Amino acid sequence: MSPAGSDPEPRGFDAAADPDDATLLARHVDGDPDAFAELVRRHRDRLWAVALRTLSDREEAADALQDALVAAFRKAGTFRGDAAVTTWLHRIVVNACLDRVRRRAARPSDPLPADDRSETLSLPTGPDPAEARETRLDVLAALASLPAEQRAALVLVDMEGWSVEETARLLGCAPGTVKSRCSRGRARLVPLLAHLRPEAAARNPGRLTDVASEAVAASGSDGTGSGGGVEQ
Amino acid sequence: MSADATGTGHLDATVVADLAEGLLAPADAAAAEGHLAGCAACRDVHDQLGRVVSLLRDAREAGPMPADVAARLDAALAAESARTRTPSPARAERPVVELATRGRRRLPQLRWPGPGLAAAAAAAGVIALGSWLAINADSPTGAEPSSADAAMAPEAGAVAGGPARADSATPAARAAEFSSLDRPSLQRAVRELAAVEAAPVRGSEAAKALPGQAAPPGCGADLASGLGRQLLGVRAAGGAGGEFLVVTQGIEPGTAEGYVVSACDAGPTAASLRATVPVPQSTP
Repeated sequence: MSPAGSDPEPRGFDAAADPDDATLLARHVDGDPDAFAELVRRHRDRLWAVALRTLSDREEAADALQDALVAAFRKAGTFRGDAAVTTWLHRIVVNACLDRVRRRAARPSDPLPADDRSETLSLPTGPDPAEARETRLDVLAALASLPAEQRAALVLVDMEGWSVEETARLLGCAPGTVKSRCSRGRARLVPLLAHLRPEAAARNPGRLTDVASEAVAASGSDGTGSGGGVEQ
Repeated sequence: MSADATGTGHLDATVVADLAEGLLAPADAAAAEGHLAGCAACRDVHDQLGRVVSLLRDAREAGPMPADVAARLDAALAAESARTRTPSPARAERPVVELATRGRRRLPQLRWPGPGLAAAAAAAGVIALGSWLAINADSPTGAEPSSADAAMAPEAGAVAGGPARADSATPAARAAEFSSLDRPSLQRAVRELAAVEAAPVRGSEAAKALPGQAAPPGCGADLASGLGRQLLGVRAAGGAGGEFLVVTQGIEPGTAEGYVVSACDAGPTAASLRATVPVPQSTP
């Protein structure tokens, strides 16, 4: 198993866009009123995904993202070009999210937000959407239970496909630290997600009916669904 | 780190994960590998770790940022942009146009009169709305048509920017794109559209004081439902560009938001949030 570091570019990064990110950022610094908004539009879906999964709360994620991008707008002149612009944007967003987690931890009266089960609009639509949805919600709930720094590392490396080296640059830590956080996070997830193993699901009477009916429903279609518990 | 950290004769899952990441010291790695070779249970843990990675990848957020979050972000960045850019003397000639044309695309700019005339137009618009409210407060209108009905009334005398008669503005120019409106005028237009909804007495007369022209039935409904907000009003610019100003409830209570769209059935992704204004909670 060597999933981390195998992706030279994060998924969804459009390197072919024109003008490139650095040009847009330079235009913004030079006073172009549209450049920064264009830059944000280019990356906001990925930034949103990272913020949402790091904070596990829609409103908090929206707040953090807004704070982070307004801050990035203001300090764009400090960007030195030693990292990709998208890395720089992700770094600002992830740090804003982790700051929020720490502030939240400092206020024990504030309950941790529940995982966002109301958010269903962007669920994948595979051949077996109901099962995939169930699986995904379980994964997200388990992920939300991890310590924030492990969660952030897994969101960036395993979910978003950033390399360990890029993630380290982004989180401001050593690559070994990223690997360690990923390793511990994954180890914690194993027992939390054990029920999603196909053989475990078949053994579990509570889920057997669901799984069986879903399997029947899906039997006429491509069974290589996105992470469903019935795949072979 | 001992390979058998659990005291159960098996490897701790963290040890297996560390092994996969190459984090173990050589001696520990060798011991763990030796154990794995002979232990089906620990190989299963290894397999489960791999499955955790694929589950996480499959749970990745695939969709776009939700429209309401995107609109909020756009508004925050536009506000930041407006706050930080001090107009140069050249821009000060028509600062409002420069501000208001920011968006997804550049649109033909309205030759709006200078700031003085714009202010006069704004004042006239307020007066016109005030007069309308005064007249209609006494009107014994029993019917309560929705603001959309009001906006669809055939009267289309008022134009974008209010009913002021600026000498330099031809009817065509006055009915130009909402995108070309300066920020105060656009904010006022949003307030006026929202005010019709808030007013206790509504009627087709409302349209006379509103910016733009009546919009076709159903216009803006897709945007409002896409945003999950109540539609407060919609007006057509009447210019060649065919823009519409759609006003919905704001995210925050007591606010309204104005979106400029180029088609009646435009959804949230095709809309550009141009103004967020406070609206009175209680009616005058």
